[in-house]
Amino acid sequence: MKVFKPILLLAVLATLFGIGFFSRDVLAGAQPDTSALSRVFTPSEQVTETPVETFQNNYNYILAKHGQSTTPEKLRYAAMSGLVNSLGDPHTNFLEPKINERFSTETTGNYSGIGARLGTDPLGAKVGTVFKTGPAFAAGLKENDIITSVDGKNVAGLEVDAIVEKILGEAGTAVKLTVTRPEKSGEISFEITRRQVEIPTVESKMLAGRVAYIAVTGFSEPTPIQFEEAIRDFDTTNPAGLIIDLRSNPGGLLDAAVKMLSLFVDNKPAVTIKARGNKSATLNTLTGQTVKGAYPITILINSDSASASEIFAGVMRDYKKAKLVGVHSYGKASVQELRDLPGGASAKITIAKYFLPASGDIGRTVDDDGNYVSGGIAPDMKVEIPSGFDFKLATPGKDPQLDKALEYINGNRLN
Amino acid sequence: MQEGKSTLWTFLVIILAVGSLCVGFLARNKADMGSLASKKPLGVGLLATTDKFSETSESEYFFELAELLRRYYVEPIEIDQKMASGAVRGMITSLVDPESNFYDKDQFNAFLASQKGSYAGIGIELDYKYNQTELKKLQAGSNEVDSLLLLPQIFVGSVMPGSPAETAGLQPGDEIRIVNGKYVVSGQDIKALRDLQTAVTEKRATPEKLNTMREKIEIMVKNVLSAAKTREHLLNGTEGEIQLTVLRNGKEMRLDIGRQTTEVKPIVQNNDGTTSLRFFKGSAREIQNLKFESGIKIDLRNSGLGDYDEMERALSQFLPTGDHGGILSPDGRVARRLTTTTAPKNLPQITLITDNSTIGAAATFAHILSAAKVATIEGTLPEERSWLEVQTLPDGSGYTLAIGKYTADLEKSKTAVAAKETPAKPEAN
Repeated sequence: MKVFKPILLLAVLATLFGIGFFSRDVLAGAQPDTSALSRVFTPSEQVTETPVETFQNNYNYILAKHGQSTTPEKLRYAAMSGLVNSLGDPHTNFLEPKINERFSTETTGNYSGIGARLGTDPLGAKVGTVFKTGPAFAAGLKENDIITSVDGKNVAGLEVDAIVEKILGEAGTAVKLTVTRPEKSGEISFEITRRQVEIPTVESKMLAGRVAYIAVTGFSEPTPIQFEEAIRDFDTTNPAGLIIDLRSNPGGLLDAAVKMLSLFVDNKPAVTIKARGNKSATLNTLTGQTVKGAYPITILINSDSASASEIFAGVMRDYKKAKLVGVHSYGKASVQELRDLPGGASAKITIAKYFLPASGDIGRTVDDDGNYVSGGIAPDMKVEIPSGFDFKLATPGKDPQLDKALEYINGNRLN
Repeated sequence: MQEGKSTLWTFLVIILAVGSLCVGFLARNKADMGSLASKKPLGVGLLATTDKFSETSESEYFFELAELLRRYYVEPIEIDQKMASGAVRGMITSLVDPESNFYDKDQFNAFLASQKGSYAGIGIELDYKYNQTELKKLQAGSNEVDSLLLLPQIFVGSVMPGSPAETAGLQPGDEIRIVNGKYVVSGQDIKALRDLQTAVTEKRATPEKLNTMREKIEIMVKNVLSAAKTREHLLNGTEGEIQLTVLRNGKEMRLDIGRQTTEVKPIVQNNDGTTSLRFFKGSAREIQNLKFESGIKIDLRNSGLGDYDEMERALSQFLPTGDHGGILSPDGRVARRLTTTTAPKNLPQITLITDNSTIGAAATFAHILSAAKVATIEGTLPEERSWLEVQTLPDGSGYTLAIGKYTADLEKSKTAVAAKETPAKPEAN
């Protein structure tokens, strides 16, 4: 009895040490990392630096030698961005306190706009659809106008996202835009008051030759119902074919995409979500929702088709329900979570990935310079819009991608 | 009595239990972070002020972020040297300094080989130029910095003798525009576009001209090649051909240049009686054996970057003993003193042939000799270059850091810088 007591005590202490040691792994929901144990019990004569030491040493060195041209704060944040970028995932980012503030406003949606869709242009941003319900339409902004400056600042060369960011603001405030219009010389100035604009996510029309056309510009809550209504309406008229336009659709709710897929794909795996530690869940399309239409379907995609729109297009293709026309899609197939860091900064981290039935992982990867390496969905029929082309969205003859889709449908029509 | 003893025991056991729990937790921290206190970090002691802007130290911050990623990132990852190198890349890039460059493993190996005179790729050195107005804004801590205007212009610095680039007729000062069909887009391109746009607004140019330029830039942006990738194409690899378009005197030129290894010797006796000198690693010993009786004409053109320590070692062949100025860091500290303790019996008559292809250590060499009035310069005195230190990282990548510029009179410059800086010295906060 007397011998057992100290042994028991030792055992309890060892167990508690273990709990303390592995608590980090367990709390993170991972298997205890036994290699960490060997790291602490091997003699520390190793001359190799740990990554933390490597960083600290070089940080000290650069700051000491380059003193005046940088600040500790700038250097630290630059290092943290670099650390996160080394993963090669463009959606896992370090957000500095300033940027972080902006990101949270964006996600909570207090921003208002002018009611227009913008696309890339070297001079600034090219105006796409101008929504009839918005203030931009009322002010006279037109499709194909090129926004060259916002509030007096020249925006040539900036990314569209950065320009959109400048245009968005609190409802009731005004934004000044300078615009060049292709057929006019000189510039036109606008002052537009921002307000919340309801943007329809589904627009449909019947094209010549009884080809149904439906543009989906986002995946929000009402989208599946609007989409289904439009599709079922078309179905009653027995169309020759269907074109679903997902160009520049940035995505949205994954559930919405799965519901919409259920109109064409009956009770099959649509997307598998995989998280850390082999945790995965598969979303199936619904049963008994399919429309009867056996007409050929084409889906238009471009490099701004991302997330839910790529999943929709990819699944349709994987089940051979549609042909894809246009250019390579963006390649966003993952879920991010925001984690706070000291000093008001945070990290946006990819915590799960989507996998398509046959296409698998379509996530975009980039190299250390941020250049595209892989990802996205390749179209079945590649059609680019030539630079300087007098493009008019969804207008036969003025939209080469739509024309290709029409050509395919007309070649495969049943009636 | 018995009861008191048992309470004491219970108490002790609890203390021990809590203790082991804590020891376990701390041991894990140590295992993951490494013992930071055990080693003296590089550059400690040079640090004038400590980082006060936040209570978390840099290494804690690094560790926290790395740990967040390790815990939550979708793929299983470890805190590894790749992360540390990524962080260093981030820091070096943030300096926006044309001479401080980060190189990944392959690029760094090619860089180290070139410091020994063995050039891969087409056999050249590159030279980067940034928009000075924008750079000054950045260094002044302005929030209005336009990162697009800070994309560097890339020029040919030196063309190495015997290289495919030399054979093809590439020249120092040529601006790299297109590499294998991909475009180098610089801040100058963006600026030109904006200037033209302003001109159109003010009716000084026609919208047609703007449209043409807009289409050109649109194609460039769609097929852009980053500065790092440009370097990789031109300076790495020993196979394949590079289709290059350069801008020379305002005219575009197409050149096809093969990639191979070009070995360059540190000392070459030229037919015209001149001696080409390059400060490759190990060259100081060869320079010591160099015989020059009365005078020597040294050709420093197309010098390559060279190795600064090697050049410093070679100085004693050309200068009288004593102080020869030093390197002043950007904030006016003496980063390095240049002193020679030995000198040749008779100082030779030295003529240096230089131009703007004289870069790196050779450019600084020319400035040192010229300031010491021991050499006459034939041609144009090269642009002033920074003194570079080279650092290797554990994963095989590495970087150069510009630590300051050469100054002949350290004391005078120090006071001058101090006088200029003191009133407006910004707080670290």
